[in-house]
Amino acid sequence: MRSLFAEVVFTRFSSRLLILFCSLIAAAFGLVGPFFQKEFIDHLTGEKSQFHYFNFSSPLWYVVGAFLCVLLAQAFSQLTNYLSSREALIMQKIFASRLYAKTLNLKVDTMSGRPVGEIVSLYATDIPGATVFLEQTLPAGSSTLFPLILAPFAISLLFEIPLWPVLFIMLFITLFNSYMAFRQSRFFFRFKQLAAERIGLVNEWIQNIRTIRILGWLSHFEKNIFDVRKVETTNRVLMVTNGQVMNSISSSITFILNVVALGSLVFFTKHKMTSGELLALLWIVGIFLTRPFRQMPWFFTFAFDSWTSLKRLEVFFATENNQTPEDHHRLPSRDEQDSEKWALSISGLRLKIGSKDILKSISLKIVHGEFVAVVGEVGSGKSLLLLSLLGETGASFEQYQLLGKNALKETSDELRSHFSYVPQEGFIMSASLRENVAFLYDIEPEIDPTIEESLRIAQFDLSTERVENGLATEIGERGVNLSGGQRQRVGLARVHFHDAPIMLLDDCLSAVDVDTEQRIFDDLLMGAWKKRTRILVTHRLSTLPRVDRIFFLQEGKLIDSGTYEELIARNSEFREYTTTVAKESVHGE
Amino acid sequence: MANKTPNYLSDGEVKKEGGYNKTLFETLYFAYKPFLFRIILVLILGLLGRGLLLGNTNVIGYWVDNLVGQPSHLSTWTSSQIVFLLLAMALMGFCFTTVFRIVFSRLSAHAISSFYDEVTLRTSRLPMSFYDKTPAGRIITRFSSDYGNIFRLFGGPLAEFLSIIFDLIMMIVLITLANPFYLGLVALIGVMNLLVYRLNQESLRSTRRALSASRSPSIAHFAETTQGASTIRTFRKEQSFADRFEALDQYYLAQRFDTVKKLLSFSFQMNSLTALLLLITGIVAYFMVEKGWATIGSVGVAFSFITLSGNTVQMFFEWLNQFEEAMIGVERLDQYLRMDIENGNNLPASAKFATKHPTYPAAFEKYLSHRKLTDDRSASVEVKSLWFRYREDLPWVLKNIDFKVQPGERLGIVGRTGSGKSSLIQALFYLYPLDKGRISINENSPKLDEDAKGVDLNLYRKSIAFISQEPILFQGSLRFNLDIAGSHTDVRLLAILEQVGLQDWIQSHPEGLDLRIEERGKNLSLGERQLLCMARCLLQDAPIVVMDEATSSVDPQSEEIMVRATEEFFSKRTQIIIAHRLSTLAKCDRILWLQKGEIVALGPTSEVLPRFKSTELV
Repeated sequence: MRSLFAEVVFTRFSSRLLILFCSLIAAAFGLVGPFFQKEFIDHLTGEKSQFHYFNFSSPLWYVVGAFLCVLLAQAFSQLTNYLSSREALIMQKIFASRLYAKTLNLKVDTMSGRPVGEIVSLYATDIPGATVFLEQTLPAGSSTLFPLILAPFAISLLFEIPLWPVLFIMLFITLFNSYMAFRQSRFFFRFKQLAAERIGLVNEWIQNIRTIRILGWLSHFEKNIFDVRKVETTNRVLMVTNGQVMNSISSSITFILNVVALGSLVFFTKHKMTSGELLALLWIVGIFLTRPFRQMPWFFTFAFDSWTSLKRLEVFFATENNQTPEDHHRLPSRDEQDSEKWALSISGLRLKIGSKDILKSISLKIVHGEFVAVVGEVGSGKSLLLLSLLGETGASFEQYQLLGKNALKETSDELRSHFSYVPQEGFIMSASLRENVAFLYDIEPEIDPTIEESLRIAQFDLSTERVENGLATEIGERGVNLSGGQRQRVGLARVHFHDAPIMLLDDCLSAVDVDTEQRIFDDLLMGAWKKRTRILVTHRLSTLPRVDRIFFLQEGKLIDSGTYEELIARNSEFREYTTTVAKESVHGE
Repeated sequence: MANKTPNYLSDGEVKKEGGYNKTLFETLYFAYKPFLFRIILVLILGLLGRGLLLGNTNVIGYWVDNLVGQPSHLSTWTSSQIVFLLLAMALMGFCFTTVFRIVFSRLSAHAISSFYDEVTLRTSRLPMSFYDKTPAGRIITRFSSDYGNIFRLFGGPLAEFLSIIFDLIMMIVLITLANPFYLGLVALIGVMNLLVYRLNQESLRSTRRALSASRSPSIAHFAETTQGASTIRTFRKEQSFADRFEALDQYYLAQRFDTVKKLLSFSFQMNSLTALLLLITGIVAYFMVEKGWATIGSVGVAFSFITLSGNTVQMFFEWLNQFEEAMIGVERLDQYLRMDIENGNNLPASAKFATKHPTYPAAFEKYLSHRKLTDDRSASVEVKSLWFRYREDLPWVLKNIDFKVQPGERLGIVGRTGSGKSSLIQALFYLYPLDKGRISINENSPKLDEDAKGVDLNLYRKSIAFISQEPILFQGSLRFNLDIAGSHTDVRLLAILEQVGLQDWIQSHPEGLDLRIEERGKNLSLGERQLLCMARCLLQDAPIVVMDEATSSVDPQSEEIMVRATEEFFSKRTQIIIAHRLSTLAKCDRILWLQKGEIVALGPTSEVLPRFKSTELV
């Protein structure tokens, strides 16, 4: 893969050159301006000095010349800024859509362990950071570096003074500034990290304010935030100290440089000094170099920072999806004879994440319209089994038949078209309730009756759920916060709205209360979805006697399967799993 | 910008127009108050420092006059003497400004941080209804981007801004020294720049606002996608989501570009103004020298200063624009700083800003930290003619509730969804103001305003331990999650974990109590989370224990442990248990049956439970 830096530089290469060209012209006009001023003063004093390129009858023309130069220099520098901003934004758009596609493409088992905040910060800070090269470094490169390189030579030539004192000071300042800028970019990096850490805590604090208050932990929680805030402030204090040293050097250096140049003029010059020279020097150093010197430390700081952003993006773009290696000892895959009979049939499903075997050679068959439950202790791999069926993990199969077809030959899109899936923590997007059920943005209220019906059957009653604007109520992060149970019911309504032959339900009733669970069971799972194939991961034992078959998982292996009565009768581990309390509740209700 | 923007593009916040609140400056005064003397000192240093640096130009002006043989203040000085004078001035000026910049921005960082802390202290204690009405994301933005903005601008940039103001002041002084006539030109620069600024102010402001409002939708959408990627894929809606992202990102980038264009045009207008003024100065100077009204040296000085001041005035207005935005951030945080906190709560003694909120005296706060409402293992709870609603514009959810729980009693509460069971818990903790009636523990009600009698609200709350349906854990170590105050020994914590059946679990983790718990405890199973909450509850050692559907979402083993806990560990405590699974309630002493916010029945379990069963589960 071409490095991102190369991409930043070489995409739309001609416009990059144009930026450089404009900024060079701006710098050139900037240098010529003071020259006219010098001529003007020389004319006023009537003294003769070096380098007369233009001869005007009236000294006023020199002022006009200076005016035009300043104006053109500014016009070109703003044009440079315009072009470079445009290019930076184009690049940001390219990176953002690539990042989005990558995020959408990375599977669940690859993404686990990466905090959401970390990935969001790639979009929110690293993408704008990565294009700083275009926005700042490239245009500032010529407007900062070009004058800085030219000025000592110009001074030396114009005033016939030795090059070394001015050059020495400028070199020293440049080195010192880049060292400080490097430090600054480190502080800056840490600053962003610490802020993210603090915001993580603030998030938790605001989201759980009720619980924190009930626990009486307010002051401890605040202390926790303050502790992080203090580290942040300490870093910030170091950062501003460093930055202010840089700034005060760069805002005073022109004066010092001027003194050095004047000193050289007084002590080393061969001819008699003119007042025009004195003033022209003042302008070159004091005015023309002011901006470049002010920009220089930030030029370096941003460049360093941009580099780290590019690297972070590069690492993320290079992330590969987890893939379980094929088992070499397995039997050659056979075609199922009676595949028509099964809605779903798999054998040899294995999943490896890192060095851990999560699912160990699972084989199972489910007939059309069957209702099965997957049970097992926490960490036995139930959720990952469902996700593997969906192609959401890097699992490998010996054989995978779906509705009579070889699923291994289907594209992931075709594979998914057979399923509906409800995750444990219902996914809600920031949009209206209507859009959340239809799972589509910007839809018209025409299909409202269908949506209402889906919600009703999922036991989400618009009149009692505190959604004040009905289907148009904004929910999610930026709207009404739904409870866990409400989210799960919206998830169920969404699945009902989207018709698919096989339902994968991952403990999707864990947060609803028992009455509601009962009604969802009757109206939806055993009602509207009666004819469909249903696979339900659950912890609630009260549901087990009602399903057709139970798959019992333990440590990634399928231990046993059968009806509730069968398993209770023959499997001691299953009996142990369904403890006394649970049985009480099964029989009690 | 389009007149009609789709609603998903706005961040939902209405920004007020017009001037700033007066309280804003008071708040900044509070923040800077501890450093006031040092701030004034370095401000003077900063002004002097810039004066010494800029004064260089005047000295050079005199030098020029020396060279052309005109009388000046430095007529007797040789060139090398002047060079050394300049060097001394430059170095001293450099030192002064450096000290000013460093000290000022460091103190600012501290001042703004203390502002942050004070806002946090108040936001923590706002009434619950505020959190019900305001989406969490909107509150968090104030602590993330608004604070970030202020924090950034009040550090280096403010020092820079002040330096610019110093420059302007010193320039006026020095240019007057050179030749008062040029003052007119400086005034002209100021007025013309101000005009250009005014001309652009409104459009810059509105484009910046539009920009900041366009940012959060695309970020929020991106975050959502990260969380829901698997759902999006299974519904095969990748394209629809990608299109949406594209639209949001494009909208943001367009706003960005719009802002850039406006800023560039503003800068260019200012640049042209500077160039124009240079021309005017040159022409004026030319005629003044011709007429003998000014010396060459002073023309040189004026030339420098006018070019410099053109630049400086321009930078002044560019920064001014940014500081206006920062002030909006200060205003947004200040708004939270000034809101009324919930009745009965007090700010801790560490709060320093004098915002007239009730605050604990330090001694009382210390006294409270060691106190308990009662030393007994249990306490009585009395609810007296209670009417409860979440907000004044919402209907009553509890209507005239009256009951009493004896110390050590176990009360079960039943009722359908929406019957008011959970609202009763909210009321019990006084999370919302009780309109009518009261709730007391051992005859003590919390003191909700200054004149009222009663116990401290926090003391009252601490006497109730609560386990909810949704176990809530926080990022941090296991130890932190169990015992945030650090008041128990490791031995005690491990013993409690053993009690709730987590002994094997904790032994399987070599980190022990230092085990890292992720956000919302997502690296633990639901059962483990709930058992940890149970352990936390046990450590709280409160006389009253309330459980709201605590066992309904856990696996069978955890449920068994929890049910046993209610019988063994909490045996002598007063217990209030809400449950749907009626088997869980079998061992309660009495059952309270709620329906539509009213009591249907209250009596012995054997009496009420069968009645409830027969009517509800038909």
